[in-house]
Amino acid sequence: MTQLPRTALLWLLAALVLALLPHATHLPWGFVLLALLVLGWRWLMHQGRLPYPGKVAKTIAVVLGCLGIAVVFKNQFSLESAVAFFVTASLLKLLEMKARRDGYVIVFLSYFLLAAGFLFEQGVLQGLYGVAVIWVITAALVSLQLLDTGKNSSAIASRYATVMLLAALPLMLVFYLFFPRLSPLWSMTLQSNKAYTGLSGEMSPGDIASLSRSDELAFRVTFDDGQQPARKDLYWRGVILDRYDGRTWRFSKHDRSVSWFPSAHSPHPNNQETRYYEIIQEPTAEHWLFTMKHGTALERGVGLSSTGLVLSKRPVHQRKRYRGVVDPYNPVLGSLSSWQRGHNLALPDNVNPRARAWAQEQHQASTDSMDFIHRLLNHFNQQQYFYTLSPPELGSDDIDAFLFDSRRGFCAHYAGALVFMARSVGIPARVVAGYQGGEWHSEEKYLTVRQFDAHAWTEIWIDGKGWARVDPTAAVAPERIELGLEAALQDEASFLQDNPLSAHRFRGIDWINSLRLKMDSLNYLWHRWVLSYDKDRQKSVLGNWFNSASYKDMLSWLAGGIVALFLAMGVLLLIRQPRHRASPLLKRWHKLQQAAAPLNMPSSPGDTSRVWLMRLAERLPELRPSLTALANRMDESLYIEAEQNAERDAQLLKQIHVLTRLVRKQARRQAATH
Amino acid sequence: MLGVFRQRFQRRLNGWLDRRIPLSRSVELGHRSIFIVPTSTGLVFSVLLLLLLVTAINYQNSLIYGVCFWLFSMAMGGMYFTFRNLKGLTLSAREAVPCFVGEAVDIPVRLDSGPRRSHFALWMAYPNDEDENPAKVVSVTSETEIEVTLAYRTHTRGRLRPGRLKLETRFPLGLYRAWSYVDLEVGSLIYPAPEWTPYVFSTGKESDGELEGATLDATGDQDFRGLRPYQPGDSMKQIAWKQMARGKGLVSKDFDSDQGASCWLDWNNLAGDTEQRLQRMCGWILQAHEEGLMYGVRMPGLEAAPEHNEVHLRRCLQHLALFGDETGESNS
Repeated sequence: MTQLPRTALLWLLAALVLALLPHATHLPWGFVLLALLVLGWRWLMHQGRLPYPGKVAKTIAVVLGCLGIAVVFKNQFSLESAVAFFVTASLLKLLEMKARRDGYVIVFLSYFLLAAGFLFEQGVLQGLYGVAVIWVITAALVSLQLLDTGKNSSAIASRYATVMLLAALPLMLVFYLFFPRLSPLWSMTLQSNKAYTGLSGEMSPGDIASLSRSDELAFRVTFDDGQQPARKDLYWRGVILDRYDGRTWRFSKHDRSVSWFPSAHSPHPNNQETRYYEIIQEPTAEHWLFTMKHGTALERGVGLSSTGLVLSKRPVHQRKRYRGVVDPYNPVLGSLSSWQRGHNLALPDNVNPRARAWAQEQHQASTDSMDFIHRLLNHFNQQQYFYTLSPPELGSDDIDAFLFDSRRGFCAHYAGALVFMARSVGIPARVVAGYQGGEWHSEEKYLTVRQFDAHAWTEIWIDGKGWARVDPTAAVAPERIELGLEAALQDEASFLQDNPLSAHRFRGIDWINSLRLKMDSLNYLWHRWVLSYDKDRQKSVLGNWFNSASYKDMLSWLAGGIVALFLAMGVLLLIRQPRHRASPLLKRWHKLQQAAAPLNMPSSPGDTSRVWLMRLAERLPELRPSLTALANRMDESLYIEAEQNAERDAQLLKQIHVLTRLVRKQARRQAATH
Repeated sequence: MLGVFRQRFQRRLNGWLDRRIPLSRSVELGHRSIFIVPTSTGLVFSVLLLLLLVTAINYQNSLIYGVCFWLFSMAMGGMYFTFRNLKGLTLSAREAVPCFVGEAVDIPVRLDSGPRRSHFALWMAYPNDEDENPAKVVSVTSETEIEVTLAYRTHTRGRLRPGRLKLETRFPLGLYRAWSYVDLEVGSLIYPAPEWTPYVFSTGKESDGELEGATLDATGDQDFRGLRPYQPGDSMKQIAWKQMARGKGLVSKDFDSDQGASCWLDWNNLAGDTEQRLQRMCGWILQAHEEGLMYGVRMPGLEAAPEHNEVHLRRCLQHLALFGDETGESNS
């Protein structure tokens, strides 16, 4: 059993702590406590103040650890509980770490935990942090080898970690670019049970208002033509809420007639108005994707439902990149099936009688559906209705209460009321939840849409025309659509209420705002080029650069990368490092030895200069006095004189030089006579 | 059956090694002499990489891809660093102090780092049962030379042939094991293990078991005569330890003794087979030398006239060590 080098322990502790740190945010606090406890214990063990745990203690620790995980996570098998398991395992391993083999286990667990941290957070900062931690873990790995270097171990370990990680970069890049990005091998049931901020499949009055308190990113969009779209066109449809139970609007999950790519409707190829865009969406744990106007499925794993919703086959648990299209043709044109019609007219009985009666009144006075809707919008526009994030609490028959009593509401109130009234007079209608607006970054030409851009509007069925978008909020508070939520809520302090430090609150201060925009751009580039480098992106990038993106080509690039690495290593090993330059003294000495070569006098490694010179003196007796003098001089120069003396060194060199000539002459003569 | 096969394999392997890294006083490690394979730790590491890759694929996570590829590339490059950790290192053996069979001889091995390269965590040992020849872990920083003393337990008399020195390193990652078997010519002798038997002296002519003429100092009665200053070569028994303990310096007790008496140690007076005779002869010589006798040795291949000095002792012991070794004779 090879012992663990002492310096290695410090590196290992640092590596594990740094790898664990990012997990502190999503693991229960108990684990932080456990980690601190174990680290403290291990440190005392290192200092010799506590003994190593015995077998019994270890068994108890393992059992307690497993029980702890089971209790904390209530037997739920989620990503968090799996990570918690690894964290506990690595901590327990740390406790019993004694031999070098245990050190390897810690190093490998640290690498894995660091990578697992990227399942939760993938920002630029997390990426940079990851690079630093990989360096530390690698240094820990190197220090495991350094048994005998003592104090220098840390310097050596960190130097080698740096050099090796840097040397690995070229091949890593080749692999990153060319390693074929595969679809998931199996559906991961192990997902994070973290609740995402974002739209949900149901909407009670006030749900969307709560989103407006968050400045979290929802998605980023780039348009292929780079043009900034008009703000009033930026309606990002997310989910259709078409079931109403008297209080809450819900997404009907039983609509499963989805046509998946490529069988879905494809956009008109040659239309001038067709605009393509690309969305990088943050995880939502939901199926729906976001589209401008009526979208369609453009890539594998994406489908178009019969209600006109664009869906992903798998719930979006990871950041997802997909393409969309603004298609001027409404794909769900034509007629509504009777089932669909019934579904979009359904209302529970006996709720909101006043709203029903009033809608009936308006309907009788109007010429057609469009006229009816315009009447309602006009009503919202001209009467005293207010757009607010903090409407009063409403009891039962909340649409009645909102329409005739409080007259204060957020987009969800207006959309809900409008759909309710349309349905009550026989016009198919539905609520659409999504986002409206976004912040345009003119330099990189992309749009960021954040949670506070969440919005709800309606779609009304017009016979012969299909679903038409109607936004009652635009009638009440046009500035919400034209300028965004912050402008619409200027008078009340409710924008980002729970986020007093959000950079979005300081948009008025120039430098903070520009810093925020810079940071966002950096994150955008990071997301676009690093995080969302997936199968399709790989195909398009490789297609652009190398005109080919087949698996075969990718594999040959990979093979080429490895071959190049081996060639480079071979060449580096073949180049002989030049011997360090011999000192002038050594050069002269070698000349003297060469001069004596005819006498056949090899020098063996153990000989001192004196021994050799005396041997030479035996062969050349006539030179004995000079040789002895030289031997004395050499000994003085090599062993006695500590400081440099140019004059003396020059003398010595001269002495050897003169002797070399004599020896050469004599040696030749002797060789000739024999 | 399997054993035979293994033996044949071992022989062929040794022959191959002998051609590849021949016996030499000094070896610079290079392509021909360094071998490298992944360690079991390396295999575990590849399992880790596979795990990371599967995680990256299933979660479609670019950063985990990145970590996986970075570690993979580093591991590939690690092969070069491990190889380089041995390359350019020059090993040379130095003369070891002769010893007797059964003792551990200290073999001094010089390690020269060569230009501009440091070599870390070098594990060195003469292959044998591990307890017998303990390994040493050393590092040589660039442009330096160090000397490592490796213990080697001897089993046979003759020229010291410790076999191939194993030099191994796993630095820097521990994922690969690079090693070399270096056959260094140590150039030292192993004398037979001395066996202590009573003398049977013989005179120059016939064996009568008597000591021949003592020197002036030796009068025959082995009585204490007095103290005299210590001289190099005085035996432990002769030193007056009590005097030394009293702070009177190192002095020797002078005895009237057989010191200086000359005798002949004859091969023919020894019983047993050749090896036993060699061991007993060794015992005699050492004893005679210790007691300060002038001893001559008469045995096949050697007839050394009585003398008492180190050179004589070495010469006789060398003859015992190389007895029957044809190649050795020319060198003595």
